[in-house]
Amino acid sequence: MSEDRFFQQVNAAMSDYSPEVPASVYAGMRKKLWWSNFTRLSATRFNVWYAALILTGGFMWFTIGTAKTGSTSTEAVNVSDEAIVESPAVEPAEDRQNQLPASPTTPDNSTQTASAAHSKGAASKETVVSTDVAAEQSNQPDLVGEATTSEGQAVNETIANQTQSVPGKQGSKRGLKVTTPINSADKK
Amino acid sequence: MLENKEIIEGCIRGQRAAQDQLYKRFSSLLFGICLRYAGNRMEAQDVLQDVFVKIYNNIGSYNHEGSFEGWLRRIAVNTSITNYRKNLKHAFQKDVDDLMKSQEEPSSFEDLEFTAEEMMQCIERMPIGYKTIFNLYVVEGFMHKEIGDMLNIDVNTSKSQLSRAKTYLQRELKNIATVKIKEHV
Repeated sequence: MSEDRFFQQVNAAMSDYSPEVPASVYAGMRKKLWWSNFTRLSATRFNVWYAALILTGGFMWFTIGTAKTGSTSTEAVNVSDEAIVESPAVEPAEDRQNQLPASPTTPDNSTQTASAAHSKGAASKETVVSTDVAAEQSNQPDLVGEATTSEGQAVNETIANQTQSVPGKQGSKRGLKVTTPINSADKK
Repeated sequence: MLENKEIIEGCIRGQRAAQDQLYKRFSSLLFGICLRYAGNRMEAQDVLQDVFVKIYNNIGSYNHEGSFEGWLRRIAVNTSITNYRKNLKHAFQKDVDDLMKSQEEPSSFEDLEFTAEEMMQCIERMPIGYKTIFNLYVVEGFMHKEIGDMLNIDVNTSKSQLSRAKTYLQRELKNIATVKIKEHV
């Protein structure tokens, strides 16, 4: 068989060869076409450039929003720092330690007055208690003042006074139930 | 039944119905081309998908002067060659024993005729280097110089590969003919 004839035979057989295409090829082609269109720059359809723009905008918005929130939180931190810095200037370390046992009286008194004002049933007893404790509270700055002025004996005196000003002990001495309004305030 | 011109215009506008019509009409033909060049059927399917993506994306550049089918064929061949270049490291590799066998001139089988399926079976089994050059020269009608430029190989390499491909194919066809004759007897 000559070369030309063989090649002609192959050419004739193969030029119109059309085998059946598997169905899965079409789905794969559609996916590739979608991806190709998505990655092409086009003004008329949604593509990767629009997606990038949206993502960039979202990122910028998030970044700016975070920066604003961060600045406000920094201010809050600064304010609290000032407060922390100012407080030792008023009260020396020793005095703060000495006031620790007496310190629960201050917030408890305020809650007592508030709860007494709101509750109607036990108003009479609680107002009496609150006025007594408020009177004691008014004495407390004097104690602190004494402690700051004189160091040696004054410290002992303040300790003795503070032990007297504990509300539980006072209440038990006077026969008044001081703990009732505190508990109700805590529950609230 | 839409004419080719209507299908082309629909595809240019991005109409899915026109794209489907184009696929139905030409997918088998283009799959045959991809099969001739690809290493296996899976690879041919992958190349066919790329061919259609290229057709849909570039159909606007078709100028209606030449044959539309010829334009599609050309895209399929070019895509197949691009795919072949990707897998170039596997090309032109063959065992020495196999090469020595392929040098043997097969006895003549002039009166035998072979179907396209039988030829396709033989071409599919051919090493991809032989296959590519054989298809470009015999089926597509390119010259050795053009093939050399397309595949970045020497003209003599193209000629020698074609000669070996021809010998290989004739030997394979002869084996098929021998089986046929035995079955007939």
